[in-house]
Amino acid sequence: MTNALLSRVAESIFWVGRYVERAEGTARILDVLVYQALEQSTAVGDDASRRLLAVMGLPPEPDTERTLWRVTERLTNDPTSRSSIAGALHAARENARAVRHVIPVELWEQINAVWVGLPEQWAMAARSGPASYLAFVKAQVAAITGLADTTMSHDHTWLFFTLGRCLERTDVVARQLASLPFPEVTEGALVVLLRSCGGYEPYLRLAQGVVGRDRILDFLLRDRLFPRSAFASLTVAEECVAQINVGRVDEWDEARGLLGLARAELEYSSPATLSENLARRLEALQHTVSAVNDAVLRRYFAHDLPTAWRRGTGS
Amino acid sequence: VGDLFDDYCHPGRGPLRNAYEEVLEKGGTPRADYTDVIDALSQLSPEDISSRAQRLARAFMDQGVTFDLDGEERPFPLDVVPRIFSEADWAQVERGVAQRVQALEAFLADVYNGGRILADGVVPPHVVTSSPGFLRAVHGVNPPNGVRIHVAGIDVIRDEEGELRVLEDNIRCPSGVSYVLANRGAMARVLPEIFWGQSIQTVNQYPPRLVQALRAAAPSGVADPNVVVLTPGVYNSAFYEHALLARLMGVHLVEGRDLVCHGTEVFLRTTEGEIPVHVIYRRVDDAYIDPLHFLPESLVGCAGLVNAARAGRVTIANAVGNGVADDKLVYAYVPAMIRYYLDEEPVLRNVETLALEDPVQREQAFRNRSKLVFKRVDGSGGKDLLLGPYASEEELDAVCAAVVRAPRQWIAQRMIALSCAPTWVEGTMAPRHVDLRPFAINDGEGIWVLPGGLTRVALQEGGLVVNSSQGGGSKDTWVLGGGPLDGLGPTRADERVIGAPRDPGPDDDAAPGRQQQQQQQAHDGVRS
Repeated sequence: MTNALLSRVAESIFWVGRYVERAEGTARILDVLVYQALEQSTAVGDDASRRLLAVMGLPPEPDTERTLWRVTERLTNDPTSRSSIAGALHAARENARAVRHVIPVELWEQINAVWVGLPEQWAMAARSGPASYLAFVKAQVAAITGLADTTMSHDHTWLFFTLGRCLERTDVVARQLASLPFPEVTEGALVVLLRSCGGYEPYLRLAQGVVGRDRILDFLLRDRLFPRSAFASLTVAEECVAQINVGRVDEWDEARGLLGLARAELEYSSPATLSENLARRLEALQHTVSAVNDAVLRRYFAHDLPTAWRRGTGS
Repeated sequence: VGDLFDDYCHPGRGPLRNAYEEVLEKGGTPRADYTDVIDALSQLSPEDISSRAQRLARAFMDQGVTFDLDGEERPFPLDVVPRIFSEADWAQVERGVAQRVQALEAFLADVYNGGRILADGVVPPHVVTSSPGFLRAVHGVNPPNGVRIHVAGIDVIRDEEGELRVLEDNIRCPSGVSYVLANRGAMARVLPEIFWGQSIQTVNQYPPRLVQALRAAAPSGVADPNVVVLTPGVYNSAFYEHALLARLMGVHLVEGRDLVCHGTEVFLRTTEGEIPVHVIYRRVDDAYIDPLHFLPESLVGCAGLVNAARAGRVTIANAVGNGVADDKLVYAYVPAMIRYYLDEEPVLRNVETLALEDPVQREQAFRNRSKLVFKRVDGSGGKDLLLGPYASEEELDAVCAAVVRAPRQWIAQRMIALSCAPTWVEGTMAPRHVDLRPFAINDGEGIWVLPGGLTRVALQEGGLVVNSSQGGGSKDTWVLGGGPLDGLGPTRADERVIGAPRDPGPDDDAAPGRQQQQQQQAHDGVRS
């Protein structure tokens, strides 16, 4: 038995990883930003919604329709967009379905159950706000990743899944940072950012409660222990690629090279220079994610068409 | 206003008939600040409101936002109708609370360093020396930045005329701020529609303000102070709050047994050995904090803390000995203190108070005993308190006898009918009495008052005791308007979409203009 995995299977599982991570990231961002806006003032709902769209890489709404609720709906329940939670979870589920024979049945059922449960959650959200919906998504995605970590062999299937998650994570952090106006950014905005990564409390413990711009930037970009920092995500991604490639060490591996360079750039930059050229740095980080994605695709998933999506009707 | 408030009527009976109504004016029209919220609530059916109320309770149980009552964890009931302060009303609370804290700071510094105010006859010396909160062990102990009241909870009520007054000062370990934070979060999540169109000042600034004030209080020469929260332990009724504050300040939550004093240095026992501690935000009472000076049997304190504080090697916040200033008899002298130290008139008046150690006032109190409230000077939590109008003759006899035995231990106050507000009780809107505990933080540079504070509700009909240990609940408290809206500033000026679009999925592209193609692909998928 070799480690060989069908390209199609590998690709699907990779995308399951990316999509569930994307759904979780979006849920976290919304949960923090929407309620922060609501708890303070809806006068800033406009700013909040504009920022949400920017972070999600979506074009701005026409002015007349740009309300926080509309944007929230667009980012949660728009099944036609893979940038919405429902769209991402649907895509994760479809990808998982195609490869359900290689993933543990518990994991498949969990992924499926989230998708099945979403409409009911949305109905509740439509009545009384998205809090319960977002909490549901966060908890269910945590269950998915927990099951993947504890019930799958950490073989190639798992490695592609985890690689997908880590790439997506890096992208989310880079995008969120890029949405802020450095260096004029307020501490409040940085706190919102930390909270939406779940990193607020770990950061506070590290910094003894002191909120400082450069320190937060340092934390989000290259903390070694916080799993959502860009550095930590890149490191795990690099390990995944290395293990996928094990036994072929002499070969040049583009994905690994790109990940290693990006990781080293963060790791070996002095703290003082971290905020210099930040915009360029963040753009480079996002570019790396895309380039790694393409490199993995070319090397491991090479085929003409994305077959995982071309499902038939069973005929 | 919809049906929800149709049956709402002001309490028309007994001694409380004059209570000020916070939300609705006579005739049932909401006051201006409440119009939008009452409108939004009126859109909901009673069943809806009940289910939201259940979800609030459930949210608190899930989060473990509970207090401990006789060994049982209970959620602190949160009402669906918020309490709202206009900017103008709040400005008065803010000024009044800050002024009071400033005067009390001056008083504490004074009485623990000779007592100018006593010599000048503004406060009778025996009032201070006979106070159980006056601790000779801390005489001459002066904290590094001069602050003794790092956190204050000054209880404010509205009287029959709608005037805001101070009911009592809490400057030892005032609790309840965690509910302020938890209430706002839970309300926004469970009842988002009532927030719509409002402009409310945030309460999230409290933990960063507190940690900043605590760091500012560190002994001199300590560049990066180690701040800890000292809790009596997990069985304390406010343990949830201690844990929340430690978490949101990013500091260690410690118990007495985690601390150790060597000489005048305080250390924390950790897996990395003993590390020095510089500021202790303690939620342990004075009597238990240091068995060396106070109760020797205390297991929740740490021997040697007071000496370390005296040596200036550690700061205890709030300072030991603050009890003398929130003694309920000393309360009667606070307006005089404000005039004496600050040369100002009090912004918020006291409630009329009789000092029962004075024979004339005592006689007066006994004559009117069925109209007054009797309180022990060191009581708290709604215990050791008798409401004259509701008491039986036997109870009144008993309290008068107790007063005669120890007159210094008691005061009597005019019974104020606390203002009331609509509260959801057993499926209907009913008037319930409320008070307010604003929280103030003194960092040595200035006194900051958290915009909001904790509104407590007496959930029993006609009840005036709002304490959580007496079946009280709370309301989310909004201060409208103003304030920089932090954290949601505009995005980068150019407003363009950041970077390249995310990597789309295998057949997906969320980029603009591609939707048609997507739909086409979906069709292909079905056909193939």
